[in-house]
Amino acid sequence: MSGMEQFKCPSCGGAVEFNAGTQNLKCPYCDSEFDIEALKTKEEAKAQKKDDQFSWDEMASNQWAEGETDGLKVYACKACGGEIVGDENMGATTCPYCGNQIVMTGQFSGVLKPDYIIPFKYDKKQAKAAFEEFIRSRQFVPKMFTTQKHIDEIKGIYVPFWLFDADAEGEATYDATVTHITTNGKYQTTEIKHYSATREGTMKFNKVPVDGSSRIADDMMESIEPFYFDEAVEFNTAYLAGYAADKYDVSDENSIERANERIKKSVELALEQTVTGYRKGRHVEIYDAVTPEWSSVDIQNGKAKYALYPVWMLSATYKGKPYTFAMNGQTGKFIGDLPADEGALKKFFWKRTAVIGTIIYVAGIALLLI
Amino acid sequence: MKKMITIMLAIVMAMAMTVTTYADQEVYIFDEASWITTASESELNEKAAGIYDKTGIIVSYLCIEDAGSDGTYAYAEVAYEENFGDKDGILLIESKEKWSVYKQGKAEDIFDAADEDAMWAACSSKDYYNEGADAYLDVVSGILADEGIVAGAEEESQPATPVIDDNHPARFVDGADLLTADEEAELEGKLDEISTRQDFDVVVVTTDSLGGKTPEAFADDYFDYKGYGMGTDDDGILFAISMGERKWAISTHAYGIYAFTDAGQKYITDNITPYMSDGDFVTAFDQFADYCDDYVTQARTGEPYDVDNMPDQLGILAYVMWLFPAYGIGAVIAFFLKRSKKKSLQTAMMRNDASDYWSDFHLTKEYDMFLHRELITVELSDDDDDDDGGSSIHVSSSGRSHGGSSGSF
Repeated sequence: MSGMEQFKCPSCGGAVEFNAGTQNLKCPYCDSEFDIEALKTKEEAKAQKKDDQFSWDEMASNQWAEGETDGLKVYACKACGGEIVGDENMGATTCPYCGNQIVMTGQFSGVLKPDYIIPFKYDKKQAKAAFEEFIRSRQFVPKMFTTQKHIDEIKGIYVPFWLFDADAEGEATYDATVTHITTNGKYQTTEIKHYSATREGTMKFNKVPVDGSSRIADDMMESIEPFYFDEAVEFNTAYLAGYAADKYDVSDENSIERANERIKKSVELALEQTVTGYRKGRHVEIYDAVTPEWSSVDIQNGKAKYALYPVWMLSATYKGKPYTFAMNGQTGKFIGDLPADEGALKKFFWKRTAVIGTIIYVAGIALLLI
Repeated sequence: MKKMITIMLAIVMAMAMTVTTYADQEVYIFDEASWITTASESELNEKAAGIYDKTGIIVSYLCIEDAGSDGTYAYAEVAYEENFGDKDGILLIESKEKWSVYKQGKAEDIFDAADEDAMWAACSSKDYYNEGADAYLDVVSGILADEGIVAGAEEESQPATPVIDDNHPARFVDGADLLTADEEAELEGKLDEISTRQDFDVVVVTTDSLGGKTPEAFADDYFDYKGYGMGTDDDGILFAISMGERKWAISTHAYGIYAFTDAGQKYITDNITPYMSDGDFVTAFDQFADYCDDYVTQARTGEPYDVDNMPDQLGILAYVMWLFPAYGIGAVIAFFLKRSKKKSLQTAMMRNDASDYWSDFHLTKEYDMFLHRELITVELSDDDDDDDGGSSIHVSSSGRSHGGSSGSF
């Protein structure tokens, strides 16, 4: 019989049959019931799924004017090979990443000119105070680390970021369920109603930052976000006075992938937040579980810009191991992985075991006696 | 302070009033729980008065909501004394949860535990409380008639201390010759003493072979055909082991069925079979005798050892055994707390979205459709699966009912 469509049960995968009584499809294996039209629509939608599309039209291309980089020198770290840009009076003598000596290797040249810069709003003193507050407010930091203030150096660095602007269009489908449990005598019946929710939406992304320096840990830079672009100004070498700056060594093209990932995730989240319930007239059934099934994101009018963002880098050594901390120079947000006092943690574990164990023991005995 | 004293006095008075006194001596049926209509109450009172006139034994019934912390027995005792003083009689007390029988004077000799069980069985078999009380009166009146109790007749004087009956079959039969003569004599003396004092036969039998019977049938038949059992109902317990099959069996009869529940028997055999496996039969039998003594004493309180009410040793064991899982769970929770504390020191992590940087969100399509319905029906776990306690009963070859259990060692 040509044209006869065979539908599979979304619950168990078995071939479904038509039930004349309810005029619906019914799965003979798991007793699930379906609406024919719904199943058909869903099968069709499945066939039309689109792939993600990312189109970035305009990449950063700002060039230096002649003579603009004259005051800028390049310093190289002999240990890690990192190159730092600064003016002649930069003052820093050690590498902000590894703490080793740096030497001036010559005149700055090459690479693109940043489009924007967010100037430092927090100074060195505030960064130091923030660090002290940061370790004081946390439990289980080794006392030695807290008291001895192991900061080796605090350096303000302008970190290169690629900023991505784009219009995004997203489409996603979700499997949403409403569960009712009823008890009838000895039997408990769980009814799970499955819904297919489709959402489409558009949104704009403005200056999504991706760190363009391979020497700074990406997780660290993403952790001190957000940076607020409304305080950015057009780049001018004058802002670099007294601070070190890093050159990008990951191109904008190579950074796009990370921007795509983050944008796609945001689109999915924004769409998912609208999947709340099934409405039919005045009747609303609130979903109790929403599972993403499929999504596609289309990014249009993508533009990349190059900017320098202010970051305070603090390095410390504890028991021969380096610890690096970062503070957002615009917002003061401080992050970094601290060493743990294993001894105190062990004590904490045993104390908690004793307290919780005793509570459970006593509660159990009390239950037994009642 | 004054207020406190007033409140406390009020509480004490309220508690004192919960035990109601009845001035009228004609009343035998006390309905404190208001479960019986006044009309049926007076009918029942008349019936009880008739029994008293005929036999001189007071037969009283009391129903209450809750006996409080002292228990039904203590409540019944107080109520009986308040109303009937030191007269001979019996009082069945029934609360929502429990029942007890209080006996005084002659009634203590007339009614044994099996009679009490029969009274309660009759009483609780009815749907309505008045019918239950009526059935109880019938049972008591029947027993009194059987015993030939007549008002004014003097009772036969009973010996104050039990005397060991020499005609009784031996309570330890060592067919498999497991014990030395001394051990045998000692065990037999112990079994005789316990059995006589408790008015309840405690018997141990060893054999080389079960003779083709099941251990259970062997124990039942041994009990029945050798004529064990004490009191009018042949109350007793028999523990048999066969060395040929390395099997053991317990047979209980009459009050033994009530006193030795399935869970209670399991507790005994779990504790003594390891000794038997090791060949230490003296300890096994000695402990068996001690357990039986304890179990019968416990059963006389109205609450035989059962699922919810096991001997104290088990309690202590449970207290100790519970330590491990309790602290184990504590350690697991503490481990996760520790891990989260350690994790809180690590603040550098990737952000997977770009939610700080988006704007102008417009939903252009919103479409939800019903797909299908899944129905999962499960049968709720039946409460019958839980051991509600009690004793299971079977009928032996002689047609008598026995309780019991069996196993290997």
